[in-house]
Amino acid sequence: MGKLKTSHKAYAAWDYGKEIEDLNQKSREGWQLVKGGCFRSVFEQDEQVVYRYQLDYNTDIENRMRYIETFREQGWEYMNSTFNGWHYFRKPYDPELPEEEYEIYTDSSGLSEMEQRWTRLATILLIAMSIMGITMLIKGVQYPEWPRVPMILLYLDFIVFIGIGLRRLKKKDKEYHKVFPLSAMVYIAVVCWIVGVMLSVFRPDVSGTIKGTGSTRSYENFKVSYPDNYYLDLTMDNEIPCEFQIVDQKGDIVYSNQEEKVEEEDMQLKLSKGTYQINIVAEDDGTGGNTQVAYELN
Amino acid sequence: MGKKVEPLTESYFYILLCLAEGPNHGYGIMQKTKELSEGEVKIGSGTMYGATGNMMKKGWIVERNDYSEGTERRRMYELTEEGRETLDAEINRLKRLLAGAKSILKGE
Repeated sequence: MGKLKTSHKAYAAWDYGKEIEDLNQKSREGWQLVKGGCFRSVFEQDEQVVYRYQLDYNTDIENRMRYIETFREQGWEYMNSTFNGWHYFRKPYDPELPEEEYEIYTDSSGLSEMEQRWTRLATILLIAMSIMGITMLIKGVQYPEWPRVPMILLYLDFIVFIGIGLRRLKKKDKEYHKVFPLSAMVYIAVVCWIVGVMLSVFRPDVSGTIKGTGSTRSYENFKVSYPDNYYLDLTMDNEIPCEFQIVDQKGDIVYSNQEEKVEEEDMQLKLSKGTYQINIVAEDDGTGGNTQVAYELN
Repeated sequence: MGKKVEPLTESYFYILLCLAEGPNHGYGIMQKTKELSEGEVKIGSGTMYGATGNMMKKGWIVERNDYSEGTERRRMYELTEEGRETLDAEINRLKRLLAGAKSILKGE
C-alpha cells in the first residue's frame, strides 16, 4: 500500500464538475482517491495507474445492488457514498477509448437527471429556508433584539448561497467561479452562529414566583451585559397593596407596577448595560390578604 | 382532451427497442444501442440506471434473473406488453413526423 494523504477540500454541489476534474488531475499526478467525502477525502500514492472519476448524486436508490451492477457493467468501480447521497466511481483510464466512455449521464438535453434531482432538493430547501427566514424577520420586527440579527443573517447566507448555485446550474454555467465559494458560506454561517449563541448566552434569564400572606418582601439581582430590548412576562394577583419594581444600580426605577391583577406578556424594556434589581414589596393593610407574583425576564 | 404522450428520449427509445427482440442486460442494451445508432448514442451508467428504474416503475419493463447454465447470474430486463405498446406508439409518432416531412419536402 502506498503513502496515504488526506484532503479537506470541500466543493459546493454545483461544482461537482470541478471536483471530478481535480480528482482526475490528482490521479494523473499519482494520487489515487480511495475514499471520497464531502469534507474529508483520502488519497493513496500509486503512480502505476491513472483513473477517471465520476460523481453521481442520487438519494433515492431503491436497489443498491442493481445500482452498483449497472455501473460495473460499463467498467465503473464503485468506491463509496457520502451521507448525503453522493456516490464515487472510478474507471482505469485508457487513452484509446473515446471521451464519452467516461460519461455517466448521456441524455444531453437540458439538465442531467442527476442535476434535476439536486435542483429539486435545493429548491425545496430554498423555499423552506425563505419561509423560516421571513418568519424570523417578522418576529424580529415585532420583538427587536440583537440575537435575532446574526440568525437572520445566517438564513440569508444559506439562501443566497443556494440561490446562486441553482441559478448557475440552471444557466448551465459550468465554469468554476469563486464568487461565493462554499468556504465563504461556511465561514459566514459559523461566525453568525457563534455571535448569535454568544448574544443569547449573555442575556439575563431571571424568573420567579412569589406567594405570601401579609407583608412580603423579595428581591433578585440580575446583570445586563449589553444594551438591548428585553422582554418581561408578569402576572400578579394581589389582595393587599403590592409593588413590582425593576431598579437600576443608581436606584432609578426602570419599571413599576402596582396593580392588583396583572397579566402581561412580552413587555418590551429597553435596558442599558449594568446591574438591576427586581423588588417585590407587599404591605399588609390589616386584612392579611394573599400576594401572588410571577415574573420572567429574558 | 386525450392522453398526451410525451415523446421518448433517445435513450428510452433505444432501451425499449433493444428489448423488443428479447430480454437483455444493461451492458447488452448499451452495446446494441451503439451499434444501431452507428455510434451516435451512448447510454452511460447513470442514465441507464435512472431510465431502467423509471421504466420498471411505469411497468414498461420487468427485471428478471438469467440462470442459464455455465453463465454468471446476470440481471436481465424484459419488455412488457405495456412497454411494447409504448414503443409502437412512439414509432407511429416518428413515422407521422417523417411522413409529414416527406410530403412537404418532396419537391426539393
